[in-house]
Amino acid sequence: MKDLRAMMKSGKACIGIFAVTASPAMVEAIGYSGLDFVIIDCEHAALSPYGTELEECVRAAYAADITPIVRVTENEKGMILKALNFGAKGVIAPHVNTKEDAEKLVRAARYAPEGRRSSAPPVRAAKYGFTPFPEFAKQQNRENLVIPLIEEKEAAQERLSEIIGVKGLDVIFYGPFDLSVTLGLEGVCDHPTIWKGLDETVRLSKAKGLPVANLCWDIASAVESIKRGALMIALSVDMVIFRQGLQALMARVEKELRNL
Amino acid sequence: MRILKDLRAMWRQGTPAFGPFVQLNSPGICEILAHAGFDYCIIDLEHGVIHVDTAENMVRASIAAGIVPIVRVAFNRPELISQALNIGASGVHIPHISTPEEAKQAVFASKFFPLGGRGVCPFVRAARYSADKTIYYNKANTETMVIVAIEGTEGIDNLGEILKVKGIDVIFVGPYDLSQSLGVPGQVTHQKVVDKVREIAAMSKKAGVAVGLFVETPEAAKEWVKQGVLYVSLDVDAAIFLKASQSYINQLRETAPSTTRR
Repeated sequence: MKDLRAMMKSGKACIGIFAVTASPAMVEAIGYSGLDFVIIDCEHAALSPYGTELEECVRAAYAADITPIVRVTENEKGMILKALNFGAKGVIAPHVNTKEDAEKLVRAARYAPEGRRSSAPPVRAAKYGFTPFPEFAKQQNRENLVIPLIEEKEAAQERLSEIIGVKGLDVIFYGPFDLSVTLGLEGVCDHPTIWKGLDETVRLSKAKGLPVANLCWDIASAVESIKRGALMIALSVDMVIFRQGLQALMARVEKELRNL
Repeated sequence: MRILKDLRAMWRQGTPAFGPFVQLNSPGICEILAHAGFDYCIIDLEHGVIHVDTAENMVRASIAAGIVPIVRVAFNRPELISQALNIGASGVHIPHISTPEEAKQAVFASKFFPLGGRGVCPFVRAARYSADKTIYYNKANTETMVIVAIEGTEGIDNLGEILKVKGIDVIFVGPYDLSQSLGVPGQVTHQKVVDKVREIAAMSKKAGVAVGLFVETPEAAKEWVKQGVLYVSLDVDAAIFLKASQSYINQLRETAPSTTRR
């Protein structure tokens, strides 16, 4: 399993994908692709942030040796706890809009003294208790990535600096899609205002020593993002890639098979 | 991908491998057994209440934690063996083999051409969802273990012929069913049963096939390892849990008799 923190520290961008299909098999297949991480999505996917289905998806990532990150449904401590207990190596909280939101995230994701994550030794992440708790807690605080999503106008344009200043964050995730919608740009991510927002996020994060993640829909925007300083790239979404595959296939079906 | 232990390499060195049956339908159990240090686990679709989709999650859990997953199928049926191998089991454990024909059917269902006629599909978990398309068939034929269980007198009578069937990695003795067929149901330490197990072990060893046995205690395991058993199926998850729970509650009763009285 790749150590994303170490990769980014050495200046190497890590590339992953969003999985919204809520399937352990899909997570595992993504693992065999050679990507560095998979974001198992509980925000938009038909996947409960609490139950065994999520645990199976996380476990599938371990089976294929790909680093699993979970995006929880909302910035809520119970959900963050479950994702980390199941073995996610990082947690992304959507719609972090204020300093308080970011503090809430850190508090839920980190064990004391850095936070107030609820403690229980016999969870999957602690090898069901085979890892002694003090060692486990230290390892979790040291390794897990705590990631707020900056994806609303106010967060990106007014409160960015105060959010990034919160102690205990590891990566700042820039969410161009939601941001574009809150800016009235209707989902157009390749817009100068959106790129400018990324630059500003990179500038402020770098000053705090934090890497920036970005969602990219294609290789070109991933290249552009890395050039602009992003170090963690969520390269599209499994369902989107599947749909694109279907469209490419159907284009050939229409052209080459329908006329026979 | 995590590299699992090579049980056959262990056996070639004379090193026994230890693995319990898993009958509770929880992927977490497989991981726990791995963390505890067992070499393999037998996900039991014969006696466990486990559906195939759960079994797939259990196989995945085994691989995530680094323990060799064997699946015991409910019957010697090609469709069941195919399912067990498609979800990624490293080996298939086939119950109630009594004749060389049945053993041949089991091997045939477990191996691809030219060794057998296992159903072909490269999009399954075992083929890493088609990522292994080009190497899958050879790899599967080389790596898949076939464990054949002899559990009755008919199987013992035919053992010489069964041992001639190519492709069997382990002859497993199921002492409970064997005790029933010897007229002493459940008495697995009865001399009649012990003698038969010895006989099967000696014959299999001579034929160069590893011997497997179900045992319920480390003491029994030790005894049989001395006699050359290499696939040591040490107890059942539910029984291990029961014994541990009993030990806990007994300790509690001793220390606080007044508050925890039955």
